[in-house]
Amino acid sequence: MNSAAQVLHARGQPAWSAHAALACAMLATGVLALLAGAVDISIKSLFHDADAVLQRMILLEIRAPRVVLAACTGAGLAVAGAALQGLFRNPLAEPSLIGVSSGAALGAISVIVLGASLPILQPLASYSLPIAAVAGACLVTLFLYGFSLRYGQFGIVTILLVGIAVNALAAVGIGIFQYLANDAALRTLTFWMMGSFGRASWDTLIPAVSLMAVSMLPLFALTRSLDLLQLGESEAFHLGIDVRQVKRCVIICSAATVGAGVALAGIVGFVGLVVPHLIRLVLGAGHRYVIPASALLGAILTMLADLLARTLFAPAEIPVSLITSALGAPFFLWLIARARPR
Amino acid sequence: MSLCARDVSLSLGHSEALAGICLDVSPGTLTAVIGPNGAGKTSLLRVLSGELEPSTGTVEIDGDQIDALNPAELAERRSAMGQSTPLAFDFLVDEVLAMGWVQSRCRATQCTAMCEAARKCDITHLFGRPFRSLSGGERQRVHFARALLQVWPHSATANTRVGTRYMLLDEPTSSMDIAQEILLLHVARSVLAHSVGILMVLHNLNLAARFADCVVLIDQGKIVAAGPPDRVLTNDLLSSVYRTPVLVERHDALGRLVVHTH
Amino acid sequence: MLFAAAGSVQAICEPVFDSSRIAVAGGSITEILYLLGAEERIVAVDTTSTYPATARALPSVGYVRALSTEGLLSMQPTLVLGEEDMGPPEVLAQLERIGLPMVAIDEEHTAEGIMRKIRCVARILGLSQKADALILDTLAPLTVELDRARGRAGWQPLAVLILDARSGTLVAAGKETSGQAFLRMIGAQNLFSDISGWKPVSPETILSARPDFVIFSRPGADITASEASSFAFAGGTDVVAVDTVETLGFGPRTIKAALDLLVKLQGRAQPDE
Repeated sequence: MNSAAQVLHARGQPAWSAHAALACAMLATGVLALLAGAVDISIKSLFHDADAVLQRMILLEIRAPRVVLAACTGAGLAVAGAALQGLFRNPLAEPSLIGVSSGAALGAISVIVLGASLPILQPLASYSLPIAAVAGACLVTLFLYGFSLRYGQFGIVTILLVGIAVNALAAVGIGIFQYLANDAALRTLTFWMMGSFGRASWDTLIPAVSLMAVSMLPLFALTRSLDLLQLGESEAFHLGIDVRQVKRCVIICSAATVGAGVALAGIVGFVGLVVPHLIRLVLGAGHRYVIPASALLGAILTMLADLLARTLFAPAEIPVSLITSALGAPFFLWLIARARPR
Repeated sequence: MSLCARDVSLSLGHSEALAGICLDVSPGTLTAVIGPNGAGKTSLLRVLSGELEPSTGTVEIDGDQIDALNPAELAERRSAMGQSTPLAFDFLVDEVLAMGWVQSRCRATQCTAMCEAARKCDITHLFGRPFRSLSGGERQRVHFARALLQVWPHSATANTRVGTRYMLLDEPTSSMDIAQEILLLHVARSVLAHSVGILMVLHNLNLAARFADCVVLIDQGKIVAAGPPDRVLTNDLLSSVYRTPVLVERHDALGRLVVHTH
Repeated sequence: MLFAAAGSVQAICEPVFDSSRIAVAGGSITEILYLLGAEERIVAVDTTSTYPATARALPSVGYVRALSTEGLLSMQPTLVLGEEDMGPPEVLAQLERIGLPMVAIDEEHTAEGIMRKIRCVARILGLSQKADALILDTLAPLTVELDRARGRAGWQPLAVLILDARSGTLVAAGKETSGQAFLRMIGAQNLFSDISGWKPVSPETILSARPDFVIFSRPGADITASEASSFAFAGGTDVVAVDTVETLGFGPRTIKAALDLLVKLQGRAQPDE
């Protein structure tokens, strides 16, 4: 076997072991996140102590849904980030930076404020918030994509400028809704805007997590298309990709993933930026590695960030986005410094 | 059996990019498209590849209307190499090459084909390197190898791959040095035998004179002349189309036409 | 440890089974507990519980509207006592499923409302006698005095209440706010009674309407010289500052604060009459 063939055969081996390692790390993080918290829970007493009813309830009713929500949101944001970066061919395309998360927030807020005056929404009340968040996220992503087609491929930094504008527009919308809101809606709004995984409960979790899973799965199947898109839309078409369909699918799926996460947990920044980038540094740029590994690492990082958020200043909690931004913002600066045209 | 354009016109905005183009690319032949900047060469390629829909007229591939085929079916019957866009991420050279593999998922077949295509295009030593670290000429060689891989002939023992394939190449040698140019065209000619038809846009008229079976000269969206090199590459035609004096002469030692500008 | 009663958020002032370990969500409730001498029962407070100063040393379970379920539970309270806007609702629902008794005390922004709130808390804790004595001795006489001062002939000033203006925007109390309720307590008419909620207003609106008083509500009630004179050139407009928690918290100190402010304002208005 010549050396070129060896190179090809060696490819893929480290990726599998990395995936296995990430999966193990995710499980370990999940167990750690379940066992650590403001209330002490010991595994021994859970099984042997008859008085551990409260501990069991805390574990199953409070911590477990919270950990699941953190893991799913983290995985979703990381996968959506990786997919959007592939679609825009830009490593800085991150759901919260380019305004997709703000769009989702605006959608959710519009339901909180106007929901009461829209009688149609009542039977679907528990679903209207996630649906509106998804719609808002889709709208922003479509706008961004249309803008990038009309005015040329986004340069590495241009997308951030457009993101600033989109975020500012969303802030205007949110401000208007805050102004319009009556007292009750304003209170709900304030609760909601503070974003945290702490509000998770199984009955709100299950619809959102199913939506996230359903919208994330197609992205796993689109890895080759995302790879080919890197050559440009024409070349991707030449290589057999139905470019329009792929774009539509990536936009809707990543926006739905982000929207479902935002609806339950608020805006969690930088996960979609940091995670795919770390994966690319280790496993290379191929989306068949980047997408699944981002899901795993995104889940790990977000569970850890949430663990820190609820234990650092226990019994009080700090917002989880504070932790992710503290980690992500310096990383982001480093990326910008590196991404300068050579 | 051919890739052919029948009376194709294309309007882009208000301007007419192509008008009344009739063209046939047969398997086993290499056709060179030449013409001044803005003549419509790239538009022609994009129409032939199915990327742009002609305003009037049709493009057929082996008798099938091109717009009746989906992108995946088209990709099995023709490859195309455009003027490349820069990559945003650090893909490795072999990963970029592998993107050209559109056939069965069999990994062993793919590896053999990739190694063989890489050897032909002299890019084997680049495997494992980040694509973005390559020079312009090296990148073009990798892209050409990718387009080659896309129409790669199956070995007789593997599941059969019948039918003809076509390669559409838009200035594949624009960043290459002279040695690389010659290598690429030799490789291109060597695949013609596997019932592959090639159409390439070329700026270097000497390359067209040396390697093409057929030369198509276009200007302002129309075909001015088409045929064997010695009939199209004439002083009068070239001088009038390029609007600069051109001298074509037969080089007896080399046994082919040589094009000079004043 | 398992809680005896199935918990749910209630607004009923009934004695609870076990009030030995209380988690408080809301600054005014903390003040009331201190007033009733029940401070040893407090195991955790929220971030709005800033008075008295010793309350700040207690473990904090977050902002009153962003409580932490596990943080609360880790302090092993037997009762959560909060103002009616404690939340978020999802956290309350989680606590409810665990079976932790919770009481959200009704809010009514009048002197009588404050006394009712104190009686309610006291009844929940089984300290009604102490509360009645306190009210009879201090708060009821203060309320009578406040009513008398407010009822003085010709006292119907136009006022604006601004919430902490340090950020540069003036956020004024509109209708259905604690700010408007406080203005009503001192017998003043709210210039912005047409707008609903707390809304940003422009200084020009205030200047052109020439209110008698502009009241800044901010922590510590400090005010700079430039702020004090900011509306002076309009003529007749007086600027004062009050402490936010003391006045808008509608806790035990609010009646006295309202009376003090009322006396101060009437004293300032005197020379013109």
